[in-house]
Amino acid sequence: MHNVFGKTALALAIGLTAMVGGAFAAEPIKLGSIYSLTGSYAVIEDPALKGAKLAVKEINAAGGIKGRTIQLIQYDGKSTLADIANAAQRLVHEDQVIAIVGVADSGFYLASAPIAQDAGIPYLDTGGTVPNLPEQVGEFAHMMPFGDDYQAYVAAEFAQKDLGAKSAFILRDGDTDYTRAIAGFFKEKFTKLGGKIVDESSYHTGDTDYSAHVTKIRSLNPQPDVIYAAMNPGDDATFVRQAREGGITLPIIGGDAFDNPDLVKNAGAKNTKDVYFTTHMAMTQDGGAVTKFINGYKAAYGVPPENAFAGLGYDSVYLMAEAMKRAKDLTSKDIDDAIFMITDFNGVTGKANFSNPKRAPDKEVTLIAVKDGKFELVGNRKP
Amino acid sequence: MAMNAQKYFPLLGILVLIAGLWFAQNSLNGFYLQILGLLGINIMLTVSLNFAAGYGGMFSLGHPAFAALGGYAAAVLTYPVTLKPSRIPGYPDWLLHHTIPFLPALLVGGMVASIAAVLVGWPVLRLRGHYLAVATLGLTVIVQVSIVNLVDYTRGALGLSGIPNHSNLWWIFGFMVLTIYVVYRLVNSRFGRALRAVRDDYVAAQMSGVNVARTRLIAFTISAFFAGIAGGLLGHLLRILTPGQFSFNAVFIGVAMMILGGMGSITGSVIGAVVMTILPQLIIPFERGGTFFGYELPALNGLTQIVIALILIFVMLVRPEGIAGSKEFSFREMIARVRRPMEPTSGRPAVKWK
Repeated sequence: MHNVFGKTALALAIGLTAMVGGAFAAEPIKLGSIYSLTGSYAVIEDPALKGAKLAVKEINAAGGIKGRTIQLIQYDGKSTLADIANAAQRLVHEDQVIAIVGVADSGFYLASAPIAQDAGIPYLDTGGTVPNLPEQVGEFAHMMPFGDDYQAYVAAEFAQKDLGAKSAFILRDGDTDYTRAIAGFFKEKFTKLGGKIVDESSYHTGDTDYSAHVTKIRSLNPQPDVIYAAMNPGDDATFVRQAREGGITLPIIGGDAFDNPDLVKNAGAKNTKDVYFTTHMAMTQDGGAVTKFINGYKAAYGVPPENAFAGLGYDSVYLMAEAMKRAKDLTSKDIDDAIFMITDFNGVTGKANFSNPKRAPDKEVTLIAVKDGKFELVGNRKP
Repeated sequence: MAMNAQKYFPLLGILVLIAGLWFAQNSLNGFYLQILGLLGINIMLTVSLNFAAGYGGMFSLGHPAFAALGGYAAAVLTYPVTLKPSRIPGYPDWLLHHTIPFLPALLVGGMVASIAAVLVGWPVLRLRGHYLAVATLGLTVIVQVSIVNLVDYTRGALGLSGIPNHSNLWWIFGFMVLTIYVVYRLVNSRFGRALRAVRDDYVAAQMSGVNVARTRLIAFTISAFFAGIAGGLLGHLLRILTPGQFSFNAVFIGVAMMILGGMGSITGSVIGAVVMTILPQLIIPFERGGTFFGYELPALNGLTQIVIALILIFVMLVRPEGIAGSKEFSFREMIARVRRPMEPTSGRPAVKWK
C-alpha cells in the first residue's frame, strides 16, 4: 500500500472498527445514590458521597465489573423528606438504575426505600442504624452499618470484661429514638451479663446544664463502676466536661455520636480521660485497607476523611460492587440475591457478614478510647 | 357566543382536569405521579394559607402545624392493625385494633386541625402583624416538639413510616378543587367582604357591624381544616410522616409560595405553588453535573435553592405584589383578549380586576 488511497482506506477501516468496537464496549452499570449535600445532614452525607465516589473511581480504574464501568447517578436529598422520596422516584423510574446506595438517617431511608422495594431494586442504607430497618421495608432493603443493638451490646461487654464493671449508671437523651435505643440495648445486655443498673437519668437534646445529673451520680452509694452516656453530638462534650470538672472520675462510654471532632475540642483534652465509645471505624492508619482509603481520600479531595460516614459510603459502593461481581447476571434481582452470599466482606468499617436473612449485617463494632485528646483504637469486636 | 355560556367554563375546566388526570394516571411513571401529587398538595396548602393570610390579613406561620396534626391524625386512623400496637402503642385499645377508611380518616384529620385552630386562634388572633406571626410560629414549634416527644403516639423523630399508600391523583386533585371552590365561594360572598374589611381596616369593619373576632376565627379555622386534609394526603402519598417535615423549612416554603404568586389571589397561590414545585424538578438534572448539549458542567449542589431564592428576590424587586398580584384568572378576560387582541391604549385598564 504505497498510495495515499490505500493508507487512507486502511486508516478509516481501523478507525471505524475501533469506534464500533468502542461503542460496543459495554454501557456503564447505573448505580444510583441519594446523599444530602445541602441542609442539616450534609455534614454526614457529603463525606459519605465523597467516599462513594472514591470507591467508584477505584473500581473503574481496576477494570470495572465484568468489563463494565460503574456510573454513579447521585441526587441531592436536600435533607428533606419529599426531595429524598423524589430522588428515589427519579432513580427508579427515570434513570432506571440497577441498585441504589444512600442516606445516613433511618427516617430518610424509610421515606425512600419503599419506592425501591416496590420496583425490586436493592437499596443499601449507608448510615441509618436502626437494627430492624431493612425488615421494616422488604427483601430488597439492606443496611451497611451495624444496628444500634450491636454497638450497645459491645459497649456492655466492654464495660464488664475490659473495665471490670459490675454496676452502671445510664444517662440518656430522652428525645431521640437513637439514644433511647442504645440505652435500652445497653441495659438489656449489661443486666444479662450479670451487671446491675444502679440508676438512670434522662435529659433533653441540647441541655447545657448537667449538674443535676452529676450530683445524682456522685450521691449514689455505692458508686457505679461505669457511666453509659447515650447522647447526641454536642451534648456529649458538654456532659463529659461537666462530669469531670464535677469530680466524677468514672469511665464514660458513649455511642457513635461521640465520634466527632468537637468531643475533645469542647470537653477539653484532660477531661476526656477514661472516655470510650463505639463507632463504625477508626481513622488510625493500619497499613492496610484503611490507610489506602485515607490516602486515596486525601489525594482526591485534599482533606482526610471527615468522619466515619466517609468510610461507610466507601464500603457501601464496594459492597454493591462485590454483589455485582457475584451476581449471575447484572439484574437487580441477581444483585440482591448476591448480597446474601457475601459472608467475608472486609471493608474499612470492619469485617461483616451479609447473609443474615433479616438483612442487618453481622458486623464488627470499633471501640475507641480517648487518650491525650486523641482517638485510639481499642479493638474491632462483634457482640 | 352568549355571555351566560361562560358560566359553564369552570365546568369545562373540571372536565379537562379529569381528562388530564386520567391520562396522567395511566401513562406517567411513578416519578411524575409523585411530583403531580405533591403539586396538588402544595396548591391546597398555599390556597388555604392565603385564605387566612392574604384575604384575612392574618399572617400565620403556623400552617405546617395544622398540616402535621391533620396528617398524623389521618395516618394513625388508617395505620395497619398489624403494626399499630408495636409502633404506636400509646393509643387506647379500640383505636389500636381498628382502622377506618381513607376519606373519613382525612376528614377527622381536618377536624383535628380545625379544633386546634379554634383553641389556638381564640387567644392568638387578637394579635396582628409580627406578633401573630411569632405566636403562630410558636405553635409550629410546639407541635413539632410534641410529635418528637410523644413517641408512643407518633414514633417520634424517626417518623411514622408504613402509612398505607391511599393517596392518588384523584383524591389529591379532588380535594384541591374542593379547597379552591370553597375559598372562591367564601371570598366572593358577604363573609369574604367582611373578611377583607377586617383585613384592611378592622376598626371601620367593627363600626360597620362586622364581628371581627368571629370572622377571623372562622377564616383561620377553615384555613386550618384544609391544611389538615393536605397533611393527611401528604402522609398517604409519601407513606411516611416525620416531625422534620413540619419545621421552619416548611414555614418558609409555604410563605414563599404564597408571596411569590401573590397574596390575596387564589390564582396567585396556584401559580406560586406550581413554580416552586415544578421548577426545582427542571433544575435538578443540572445539579448533578455532566454533559449538556456538548458542554461539561460540574456538579452544582444547591442550584435549586439558589435559583428559587433569586426568583423570589427578583419578583419582590420587580413585582412585589407577586406574579398574579391580587388579580384572579377570569374566563371573561381571556375571551376578551382573544376577541380583541389589539386593545388600543386608551388609558382605561384593559384588565378587569375582581
